[in-house]
Amino acid sequence: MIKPFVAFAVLLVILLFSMSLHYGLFPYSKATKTMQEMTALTHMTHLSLSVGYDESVYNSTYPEMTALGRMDFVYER
Amino acid sequence: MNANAFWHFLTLQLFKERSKHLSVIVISAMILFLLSSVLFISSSIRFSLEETLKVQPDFVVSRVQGGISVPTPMIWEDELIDIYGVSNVIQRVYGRYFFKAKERSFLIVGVDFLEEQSHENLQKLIAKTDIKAFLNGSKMLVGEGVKTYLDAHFYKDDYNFLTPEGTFEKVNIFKTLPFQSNLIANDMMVMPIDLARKILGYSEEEVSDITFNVPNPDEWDMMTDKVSALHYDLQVVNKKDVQKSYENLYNYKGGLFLILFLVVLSTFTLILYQRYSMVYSSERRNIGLLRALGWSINDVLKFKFTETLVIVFASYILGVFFAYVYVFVLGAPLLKEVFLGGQNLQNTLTFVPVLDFSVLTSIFLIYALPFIAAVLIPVWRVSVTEPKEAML
Amino acid sequence: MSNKTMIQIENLYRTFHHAGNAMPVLKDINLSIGQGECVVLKGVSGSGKTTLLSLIAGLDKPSSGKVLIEGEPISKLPDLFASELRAKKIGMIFQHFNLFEHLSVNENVTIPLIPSGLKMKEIHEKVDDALKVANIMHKKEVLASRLSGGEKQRTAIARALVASPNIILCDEPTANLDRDNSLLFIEILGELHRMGKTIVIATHDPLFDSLSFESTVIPMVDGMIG
Ligand SMILES: Nc1ncnc2c1ncn2[C@@H]1O[C@H](COP(=O)(O)OP(=O)(O)O)[C@@H](O)[C@H]1O
Ligand SMILES: [Mg+2]
Repeated sequence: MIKPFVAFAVLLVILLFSMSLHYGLFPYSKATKTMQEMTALTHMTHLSLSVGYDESVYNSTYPEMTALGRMDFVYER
Repeated sequence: MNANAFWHFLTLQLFKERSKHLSVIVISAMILFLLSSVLFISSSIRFSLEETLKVQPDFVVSRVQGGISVPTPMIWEDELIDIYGVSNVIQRVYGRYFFKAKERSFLIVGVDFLEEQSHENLQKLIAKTDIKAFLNGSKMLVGEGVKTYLDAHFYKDDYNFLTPEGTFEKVNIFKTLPFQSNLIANDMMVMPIDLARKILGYSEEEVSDITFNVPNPDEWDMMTDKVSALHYDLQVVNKKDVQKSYENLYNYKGGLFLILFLVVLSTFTLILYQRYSMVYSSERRNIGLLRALGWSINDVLKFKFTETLVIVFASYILGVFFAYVYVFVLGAPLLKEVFLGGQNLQNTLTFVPVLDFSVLTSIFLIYALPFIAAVLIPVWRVSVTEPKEAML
Repeated sequence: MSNKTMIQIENLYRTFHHAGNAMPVLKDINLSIGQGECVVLKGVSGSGKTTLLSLIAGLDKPSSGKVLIEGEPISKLPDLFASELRAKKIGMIFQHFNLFEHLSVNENVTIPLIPSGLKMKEIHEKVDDALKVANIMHKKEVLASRLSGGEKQRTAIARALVASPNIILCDEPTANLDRDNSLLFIEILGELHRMGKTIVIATHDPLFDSLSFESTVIPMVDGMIG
């Protein structure tokens, strides 16, 4: 292998290595624990979608369920 | 063939013709970057949500009339408690509150702080919370997105909610929820359940829905039947359905993914076409020359195959690496909005790194196989014909 | 000279087919070239010289008849063996030099040895030897695209020589060279002749009519030799 190519290969290995390092050292337990504690407090896991969908027909928390149509009095669609 | 000499010439050839290969590597890496970013984000979100399944209630019961959810009567709670095998029956009050002037909405979630358990949960979530101070007067915890939004609109300490009765309800912002929960709590306002009732317009006897647990999963199907039979207008959902919905997450955006996928595919076809025609013009002569200089068809194929493989691997590693950094280190700016939407509240969440190796492998195969085929088939067809062109 | 036959051509025909028309390009060629001989195939453009050379090198298949290289029928061998034969016994020099322009002189010369299984060190030694014979050592590290015509052709000679083949085939080697460079080329050919190489030159250059070393001029007209 010629030298510039060895350098390129080493670079790729370093990229892979740093990626694995980040992956291996990420504080997973902290991240998932907070999510679980949040769920435990509210008894629900509601994906914070920030889309402009019509909440009165789509229930983002429980897609199987119909949405709560409670808010029409505040904001007329 | 001596591996050393072979690799020497291969890398020499790659390096000397790097400008020719660079464009291919850059375009392929970009396609792989896009594909991997999309898959990284969705698998990360799915992972985070599935982790919360462990603490989610097993069943949710609500009242549905004429296909529309209506407030659930609280007496159903007592009926549920009476069923053998049911535990941990909890009433929930939640709903969207629209910030009408700006077309933004928040999710108000009521928590029953009369329950000792709720105090503990809150203490765990936000260390050193003074529960007494929190419950003294109208106070709420808000998600980071809500906090940022209210700050920007001069609601630094409190917000005046308009209740259905037409009165205003002033609620103080007590604390911000931890950013690690932004995926689910970004647009949340957590407040005592009675306050939530008032703002959302539920009467004393009404809740949004009721949840309960059935510790023995074998009883779940039976329990679903039993509970459904209680009332004609009762709808029940269990955790398995929720899990299924997580697995199908983002399917509802199929149209968008389809477009993305089509763009990716057509770009890819373009590259392949470029490669293909390249082989027929300039490479044809080079292959003929190599053959005239004593290389066998096998030597040429092995050379071209390895060359292509190096290009494929290099673009793959680059694409995946940059996708990883983009999604898990930088938080996927722009692309995040495709997934979470950018219309409502800004969400500054960090994605939990999840590398699904089966997905990574399939990305590699989907990309590498057509690529290698598109290069090698023409090379093979050129190599096997008599290389007389080299003489001209 | 030794009487060992290096190239034996028997009843060789090559016909191209174009839009349904059969175009006979080589007609009943019979030729025997012994070791160390220098043969000049002389003919106008289109007389079939290039076609004949590519058949000798096994780069094209005859319509009928056969070509034997040291007794081996190169045109009938499977690719793997034909290639090996070509790699070991035949060096080629082309009218348009046919170098890899983005590679340096010495990198170009290594190419025939890459599949040989030799170590890099051995390859470098052989390359240096060939560069010396072809008188291009001083441009070793220069890119092929930076060379003059004469230097390109000498690089091509080094490349043809590097695997120490016994047969050197040259197709119009001086067609793109000026007179001085052509003479220099012929001088190097004389060197190869003294080394005992069997040389076949296809050309219409009058410079080859009276070479300083022993050679046979074979006229070629309309795909026939006379
Ligand atoms: N691949 C081919 N297909 C059809 N005709 C060809 C092909 N190669 C050579 N010829 C024809 O064969 C004849 C001899 O060509 P060539 O051997 O190149 O002659 P020379 O090298 O003496 O100029 C020419 O008329 C040329 O057009
Ligand atoms: Mg010719």
